[in-house]
Amino acid sequence: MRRTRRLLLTSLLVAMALQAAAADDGRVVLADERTGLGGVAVTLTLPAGYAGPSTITVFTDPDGRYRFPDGTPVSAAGATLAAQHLGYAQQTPTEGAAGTLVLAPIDNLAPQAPASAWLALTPAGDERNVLLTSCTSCHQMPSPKVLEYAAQIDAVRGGPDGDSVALEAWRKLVRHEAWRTIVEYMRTQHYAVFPDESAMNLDAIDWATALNPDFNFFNAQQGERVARYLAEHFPRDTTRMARSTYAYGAPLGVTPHTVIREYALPDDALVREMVPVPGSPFLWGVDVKRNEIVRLEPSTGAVRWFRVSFPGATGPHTIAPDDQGRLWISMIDNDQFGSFDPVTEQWTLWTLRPTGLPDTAAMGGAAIVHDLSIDSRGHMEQDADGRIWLTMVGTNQLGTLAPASGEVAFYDTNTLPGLSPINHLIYSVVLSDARDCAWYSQVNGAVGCLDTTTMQRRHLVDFPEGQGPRRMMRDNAGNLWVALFGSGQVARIRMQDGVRTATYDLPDRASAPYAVTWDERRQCVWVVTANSDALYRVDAATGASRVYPLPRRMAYLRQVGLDQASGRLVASYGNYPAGSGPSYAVLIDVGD
Amino acid sequence: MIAGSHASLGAFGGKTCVAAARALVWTLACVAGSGAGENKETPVFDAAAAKHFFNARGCNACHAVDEPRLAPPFRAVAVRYRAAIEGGTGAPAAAIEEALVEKVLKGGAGAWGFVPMVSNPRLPATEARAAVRWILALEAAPR
Repeated sequence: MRRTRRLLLTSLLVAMALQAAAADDGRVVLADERTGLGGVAVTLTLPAGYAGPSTITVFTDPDGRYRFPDGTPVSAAGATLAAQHLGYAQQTPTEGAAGTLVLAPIDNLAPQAPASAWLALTPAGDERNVLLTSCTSCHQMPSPKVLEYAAQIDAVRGGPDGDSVALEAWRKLVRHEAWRTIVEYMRTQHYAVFPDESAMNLDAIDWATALNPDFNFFNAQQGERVARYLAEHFPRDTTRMARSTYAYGAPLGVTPHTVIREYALPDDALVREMVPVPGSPFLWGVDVKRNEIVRLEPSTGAVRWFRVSFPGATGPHTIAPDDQGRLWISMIDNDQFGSFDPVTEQWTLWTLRPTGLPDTAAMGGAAIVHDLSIDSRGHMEQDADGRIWLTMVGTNQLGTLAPASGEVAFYDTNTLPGLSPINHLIYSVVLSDARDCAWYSQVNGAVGCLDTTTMQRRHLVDFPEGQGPRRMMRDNAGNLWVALFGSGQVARIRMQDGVRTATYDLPDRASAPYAVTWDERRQCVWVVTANSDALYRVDAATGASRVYPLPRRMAYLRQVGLDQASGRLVASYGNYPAGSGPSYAVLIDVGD
Repeated sequence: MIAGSHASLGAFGGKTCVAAARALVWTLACVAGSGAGENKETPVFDAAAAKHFFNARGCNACHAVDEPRLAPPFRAVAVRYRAAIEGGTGAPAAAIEEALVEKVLKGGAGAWGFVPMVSNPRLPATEARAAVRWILALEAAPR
């Protein structure tokens, strides 16, 4: 009887799938109730080589109905259709573009939960914040490899026989030593940040230098705190996660009009970020691994790569357009900063090499030209004297470049005891609306600003260790918005007097918000996350958040660009090391 | 007693086999790059090629030829496994080589200490095999 019922149900599901095949609209329903399910991501994946995006994702209305945009090739041979919703699994086959998709609740979230969900099982607070700032700068925490390693630690057998207290003490020792070893291992893996052909690599230095915390992004004490926290709190069973462990934490912002398009990029590329360019149909990105920038035509998916015209590794890292459509690009290797003209396809390069760097082939001896000064639209901005401001990770300084003359200069920022220059991890820089103050952030430090005339520090805003002020952007009302990477918050600072006027919790405090983007038209801040496979929209007036789930796991975002004309968002996934996660450009129609 | 993951060597039998199984623990921690290549022929590494491989794949994060780092030197690994192969236990060299390749790819826990080694799932097996052969061919003492 039960078997007959199962057969009937299967037949019904197949019939539903066939009936609705090749439709550009459909419905997502629950298996038992036949009721529609709202807010479900429905992703059409097109076969490799198909012109246009690789995937197109839309979302269901409250009745479970979805519709792809006109012209979507839903009936393309080899296309698949999948519904994703946290806590549910698809019952209907994904092969063939079928209109009706059936979901059923699942008990185990482990196969689909974002990395941040695992940290919902660990205590929040300063220690977890330090973990996030130290590890998640490069990869999701926990990444699949971290989960696998935790299982390997748990699989270690042995220890004292017959004494359960002694055995547990031994197992604790095993966990601690194993995680400590991984922390040391990760110090050496900092070199995976640098591009192909880089002279900075493990063969170029001795072993002691490779492990030197003064040449890494986290110091010795932070490394030990990370190891201890993981040993004491990281989940031992990484195969199961109760359904009640994790939820998005805020209402969904997606609507039936939201469309997310992903464009496949090469697996060995590491395109950290992509931006729209004023007056151009193209999106532009930086491939930090392959020493190239990329131009993407969204309607066809066609890409073209441009190598930096420098005889060696450069590592294009951060990209911002200017108002004329020219691109400005900082590079982490060989002290380079550049400008690229998309019309003439010509590069102009400048070298920014501060004095006082240690004479070493280790990363502590590199300038690491990082972020460039931007305005409230994310466009490159120069101060009143025509200088671009830059963060210099190697020296914890701000640099300036006057492109017209080529003149460069460097200025000290604040320092914290116990941190080497590179340990501060100075990150982003934003010019105030009057362009008279250059605001900078340090992931392991503070937010401050230097007067662009006197070059003296005008304001300093302290943050507890681990909160992790990372990328920032200003609005047009005198506020500086700051992503707090470690604590999962967004801070608002009044630039006039340097007062922190608000701190908003994000829906997932382990989401590791990497960057903020001001949206003048919508009066909101877009927050991209490293760890929660989601994008957040924070209302500027109330601080209330809405969640935009991304259609892919390991959807690590480092920046989001806003097309001022269309209101579309532009991003890319960027997991270190190259190849360890998805490699896609992402274009989002918000759907409001 | 600290026991490692012995299943892959279960057919060998004998004390040397246990030593070999233990030895498969803290070896060759590499960060793999992408690549397939399962059907390709195994390349032959000379010293320069091996050095390039260990740097490009990040194996040198844990291992050096003679220097103890986070994991045993390759020469110590070679001595240990050659003892297993040449010790008259009947353990076929090819089987030990294959078990080592698997250890490189999948990692494991055990006997050079209780700290597990990381897996390298994206490393092509042909490259792992070439590295294992190069390591096993190392002389017992540096010339």
